[in-house]
Amino acid sequence: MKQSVIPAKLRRSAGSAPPLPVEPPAGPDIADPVERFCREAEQAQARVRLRPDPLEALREAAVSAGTDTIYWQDPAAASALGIPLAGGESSAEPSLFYSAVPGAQDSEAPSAPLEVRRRPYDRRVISQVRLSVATARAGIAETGTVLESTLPPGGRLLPILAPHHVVLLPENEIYPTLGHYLQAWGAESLAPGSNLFMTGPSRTADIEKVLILGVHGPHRLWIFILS
Amino acid sequence: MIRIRPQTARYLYDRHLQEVLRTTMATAQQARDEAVAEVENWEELRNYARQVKLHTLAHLGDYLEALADRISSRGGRVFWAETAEDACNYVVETARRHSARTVVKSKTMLGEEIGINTALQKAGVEPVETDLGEFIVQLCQEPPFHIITPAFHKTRQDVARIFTQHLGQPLGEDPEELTAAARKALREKFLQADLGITGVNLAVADSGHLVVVENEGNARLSLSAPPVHIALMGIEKVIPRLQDLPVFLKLLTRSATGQRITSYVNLIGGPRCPEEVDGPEEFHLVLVDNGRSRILADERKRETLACIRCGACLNVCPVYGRIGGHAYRTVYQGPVGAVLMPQLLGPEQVPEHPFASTLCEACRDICPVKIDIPRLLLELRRELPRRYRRGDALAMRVWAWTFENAGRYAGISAWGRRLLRLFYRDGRLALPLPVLGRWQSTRDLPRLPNKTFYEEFSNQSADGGGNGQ
Amino acid sequence: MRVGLFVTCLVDQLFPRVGARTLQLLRLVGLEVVVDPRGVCCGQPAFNTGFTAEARRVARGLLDCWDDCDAVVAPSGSCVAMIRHHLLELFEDDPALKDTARSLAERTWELSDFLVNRLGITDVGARFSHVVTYHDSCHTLRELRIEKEPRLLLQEVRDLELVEMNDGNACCGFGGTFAVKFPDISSAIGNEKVRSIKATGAQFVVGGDVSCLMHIGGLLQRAALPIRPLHLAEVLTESS
Repeated sequence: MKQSVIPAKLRRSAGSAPPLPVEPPAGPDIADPVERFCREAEQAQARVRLRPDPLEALREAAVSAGTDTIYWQDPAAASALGIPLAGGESSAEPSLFYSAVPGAQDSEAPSAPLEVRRRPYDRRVISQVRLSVATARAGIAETGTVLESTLPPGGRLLPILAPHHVVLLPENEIYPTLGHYLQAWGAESLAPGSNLFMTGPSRTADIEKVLILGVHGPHRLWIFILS
Repeated sequence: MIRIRPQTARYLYDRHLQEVLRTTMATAQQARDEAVAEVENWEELRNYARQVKLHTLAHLGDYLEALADRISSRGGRVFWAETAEDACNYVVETARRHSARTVVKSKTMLGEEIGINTALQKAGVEPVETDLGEFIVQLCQEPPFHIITPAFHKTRQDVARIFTQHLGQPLGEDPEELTAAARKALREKFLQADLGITGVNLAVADSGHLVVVENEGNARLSLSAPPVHIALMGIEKVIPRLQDLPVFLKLLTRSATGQRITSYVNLIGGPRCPEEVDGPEEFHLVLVDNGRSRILADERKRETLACIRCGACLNVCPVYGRIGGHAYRTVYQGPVGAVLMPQLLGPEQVPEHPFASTLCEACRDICPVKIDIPRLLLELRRELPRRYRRGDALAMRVWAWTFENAGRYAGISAWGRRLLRLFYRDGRLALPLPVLGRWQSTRDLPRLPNKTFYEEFSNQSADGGGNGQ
Repeated sequence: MRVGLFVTCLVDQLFPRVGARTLQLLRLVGLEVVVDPRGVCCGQPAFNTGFTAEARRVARGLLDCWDDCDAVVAPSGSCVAMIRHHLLELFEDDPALKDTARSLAERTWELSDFLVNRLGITDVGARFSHVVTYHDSCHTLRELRIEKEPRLLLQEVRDLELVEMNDGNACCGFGGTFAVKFPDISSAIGNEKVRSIKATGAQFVVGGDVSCLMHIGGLLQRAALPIRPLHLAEVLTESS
């Protein structure tokens, strides 16, 4: 990389300046982060379910999305809810993981077990997905924000392209403020690129200030807070 | 030379535009005020952010190099662009190397500033604006009307018309329908684009993160779907530490749109990791100077670079609120534009910009990083070479000569008023004098009293004798 | 207590009645008032237009005045802001005048601020049986941070009804030379203010700066509206 003259030019202008303040100002005192998280997320038009029966809640989301197929960022999340990865389906190849919606009838194979299947990663397939499910690393109570990682096996496109998106948020990973999260986890926890802070669905008010949900990103965001 | 005055009438007497400006600015201000009122220690945040910015500017070279090192260590490429042309050439070069035909762009004022769309078009590459507001003005072939909400001056009818024309399907006025049409049209572009270009709202030096805030998801797609991602960043956007980020995010989103946080906050800092299943294989950070280092060198006006591009000053400015963004005819508009453009382009290029202000100071009160815009305006007014305002300079010299000596002032006042009274009838001047004529075009002149105060009262002794009222 | 009355050039030339009423008011509250015709202008018109040399030449005249006064009072927030915040800047390189400039800056007060905060007075015995609204000039509001003082004084005026306008903090659009450099914009901004004033139903718009009142008054008159501008000093010296 050719050495640039710019940094040297900038250094010549270094002048007197205040020192860097040591501590940022304190954030608000949030006595009940879970309660605050629920309130903020709903105000941001997310649909929040606090300690739901996960499979029931998934059914609700799927009905709302008009689909009987769920795409999973990580099959491990499905396994944790009792939907195992079908035998022989793991792979080192970039993959997409999907399953039927719990309780939905698979008309072609009614007695088929509920399990996660794999198919090769394909962005064309992703662009047809109606409902995706991901696990959040953390929630921020002050703003009702979830932090999603898109490290493997999931990718960047699935959570943003599917019009309905479900986030599974562990209750004990809800932090009062972003500052609290950063203090707890630090920079190393935020691998660049594969992090997304998400608050409510995608939105715009560019046409006559009318609020429209679901512009390029999801139209509906569900957050299931799981204990 | 770019002048504001010749086109103000066009915007001032556009009744629909005036109505839109009035309601949009009022709504924006209210949203911002409500969001700020929720934050008990808003002043503390402002002071903190200002201190961080001023410190960072004094050590800008070091922080930028730390940032560049981090990006490079992850396999990202960093290009230092001294001029707009350098930046555009680099982007075009990169596009060419990848035989790119379509580029998706999310909102970047810096991109506007350097003219990246024109550069790409000249190289046979199609730049597609994906932010809905930018998409609309791009189709209308207009520049943005506001740095945050570029198309607020368009009605739904305008949008329906332009979409029907360009998207090839008849569309009604329903904003839902129009947005859905844009989503569908742009989705193809995202998935097929060869290159994605985004701006950068903030860059964190110690952790090497670039932060892109948005509501629509188009920036996320622009930096995820295409195989190559280029981030355009002004060199002043860096902040030192990750611990500073929450403060700046809070100040930015609440000031810009009155939101507690935007729908998406992207943290990026390199190409995809080898294990990732998708994401760009190539990542470029273009650090753009384009005159900023010159502003940095001027310690009295350096704080101009503290701006985080929230747009709040536009929303609160009585001048912007009446004439809108296009009247400035420059990329940056309103109060920030009035102080930035003369420093980026040279004061003689935009001689009216620093004067298009009543010095009401509302912008200083609202700026999240406490930039003293009125002080900067005064500095810029002082610095405009006299040859660009000979008329004013002469008038000021005459005025100073008259007012600097009390006896001369009293004498000239007495004779001048006698003369003026000949042409003055009850608030109207029969003679079209230059300065007073301008006043009179839209207002009545005040009456001319028979005597000045000092003519009436200059014999006042301290104990209260002399003329009554 | 001995105070100097700095009427300001605009009052001297176009609104001498405001000067007369301010003089009357200061005497009413028991002060010795010094009127010095050498106190012409603070230099703000030139200063705000970027002509500091000319501003300095004119402001120089103020430094000869009122050196034996405990305070200097002006019925104008913008002129007081100029003296308090920028006078020293004009003379800081002049060892002979620097201290005089500083002393003047430290002793100069806007009228309502002086009455309420320096003298501790809010009731001056006035009566004004009309509906009024109040316009805060930008310099008074944002440079001097004076907002409640005029209202405390108006509250004590018998029979007066004060109705606040919407967007009361909005600029009137005068802006000094802006008014004649960008007259269309200046008046467009001002007409917004006129709309707000009209909506209050007030018969008078009261303010602390004749520059704003002159501009608003000119627009009111052009629109043939019966609402009249009045300076605070005029209201406070009404007794009928």
